[in-house]
Amino acid sequence: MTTSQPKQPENKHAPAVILRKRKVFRIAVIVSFAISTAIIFLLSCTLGAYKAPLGEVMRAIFEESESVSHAIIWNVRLARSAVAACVGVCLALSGAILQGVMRNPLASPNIIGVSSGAGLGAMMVLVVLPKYTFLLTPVAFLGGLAATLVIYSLAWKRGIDPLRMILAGIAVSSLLGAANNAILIFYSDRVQSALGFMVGSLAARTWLHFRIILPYALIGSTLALIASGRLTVLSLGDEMAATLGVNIERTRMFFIALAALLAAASVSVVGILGFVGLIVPHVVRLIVGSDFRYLFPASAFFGAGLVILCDTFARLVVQPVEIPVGIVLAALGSPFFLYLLRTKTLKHV
Amino acid sequence: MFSVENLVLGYGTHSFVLDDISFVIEKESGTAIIGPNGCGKSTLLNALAGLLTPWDGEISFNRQPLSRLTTKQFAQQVALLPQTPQVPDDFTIYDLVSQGRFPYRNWLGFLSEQDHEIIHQAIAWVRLERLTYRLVSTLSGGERQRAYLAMALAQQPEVLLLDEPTTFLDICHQFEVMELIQRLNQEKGITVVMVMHNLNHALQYADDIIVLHNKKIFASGPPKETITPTLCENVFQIQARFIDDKLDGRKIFIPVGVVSEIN
Repeated sequence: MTTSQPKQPENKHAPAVILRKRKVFRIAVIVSFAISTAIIFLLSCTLGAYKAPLGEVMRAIFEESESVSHAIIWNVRLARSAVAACVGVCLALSGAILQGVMRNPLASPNIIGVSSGAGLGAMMVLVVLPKYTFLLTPVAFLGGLAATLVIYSLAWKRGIDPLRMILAGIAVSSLLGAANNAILIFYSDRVQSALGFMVGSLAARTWLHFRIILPYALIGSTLALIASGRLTVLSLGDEMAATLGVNIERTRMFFIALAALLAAASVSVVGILGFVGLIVPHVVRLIVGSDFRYLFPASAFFGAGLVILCDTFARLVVQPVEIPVGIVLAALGSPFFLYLLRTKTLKHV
Repeated sequence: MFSVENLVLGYGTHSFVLDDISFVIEKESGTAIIGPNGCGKSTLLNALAGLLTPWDGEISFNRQPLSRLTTKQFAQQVALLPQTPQVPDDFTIYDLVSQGRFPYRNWLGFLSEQDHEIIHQAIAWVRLERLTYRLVSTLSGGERQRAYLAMALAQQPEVLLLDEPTTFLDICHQFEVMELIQRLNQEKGITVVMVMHNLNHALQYADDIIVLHNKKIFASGPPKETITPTLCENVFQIQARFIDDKLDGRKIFIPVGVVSEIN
């Protein structure tokens, strides 16, 4: 991107031109991600068991009507894709934040225990106390945050060392996983109801779910964007960042809390969708670089587009049966990620 | 500039590093902190940088206790170059140096026209303008150290703290970096405090030295008077000779060997 050297160092205008070019490129990438996501969003509304042309989708979005097609498009597809978009934003941002804070390319919402905590919470509700299924979302949300809090306090020792936090995260997650499996064994007759949650599914998600997750997606992205400069400075190492005026512990706590909230919000609504938070930030970093002011918005749009795309695929591929989006994401995402890993591009891993 | 009184430093509650030390660092001076491995040189430097809360005693900066300054105020006045700094793989020299403006940025974090000007001047000052858009990860050790000095310069500090800035460099780049630091001190009036290992560099470049040994300040003062054969024997356990160079009046340190048996 920017490795080229100006050929004539005497030319005083060269630096400004290169800088402007890079900035234009990065903004162009963000805008094109945003436009692609919008197109994918509209497409996802036209495709399905009921074929709706684009014009009908537009009418359904912008005009009120009593027709069946309006009901299908507005209440089913639009709602579902809107939830998918928010989930994509939350998970991608959460992953990007954690990879930055932990300075570790393997960091993702799983590492801070959100997934395992939420998973155990969901399992308790769905399998052990099936009468209280309406409590699924809040319990999963609280479970995810509680697990993060436990890991954070276990890793605290005069400050948070990212590596210690990652190790504590792995240990606590395995413990929660064991509890999870124990429930699966003891209640093996009721497992079916929890399967959708464990692999992540967008089936039957409605405007109600959208209203739950939207505030997190909006407030989360705004906060992340405002604080993005601090995270960039943090990538220069603790000592350097501290002498540049960043309060290390406070910044770290802020970002971990933000990532946990974003991930918990999405996990509690659609279940455990592991892969988005791990690969989206990597792919985007290859394109726009490590400056979080660009990485955050680009990741958010890319994540939203990816989840909608995979969910549409999940609805269509083996009609009339639906496969959970989590399976599609992993099935399509892993080979793509491995391809990136093998080609020259992913050199910093 | 810095005034340190009865400072006690350590990590956690058990690992006790420095005991009851006091000294003053004058404005616009160049001070070298020397001592054997593990004597607490870097710990002392980190304490001056505000990275470490003292167990006891007080560090004042411009007559104000360190604990009373906000991180941002302090960052506008004191820059640190750690021994092994990190940098993201895709950062260019420009990106790195622009982080030096962080303490001056507004809450949205965008750079002003004036910031860009300061960044370019800093890069030109360390003579890296031809490499402005090269990736830091592809630079040689000497160039990289100069890039970090440019970053410190962009921070426009009153004090620059350096932790062994010439480790891993070949002899030419060692001198290049030392001369650059000397120019920062003399031309920009930046007070320099640095941890170093090379006694000849200390003799050549420092105005004052602080010798740490056995958790205390073993000696301090102008390097020529302070660094003596006795000191080398007691602190570093080596025998040493010194030669006065007739050409420019410099004192040159010649290590002879390890003191045979330490009794």
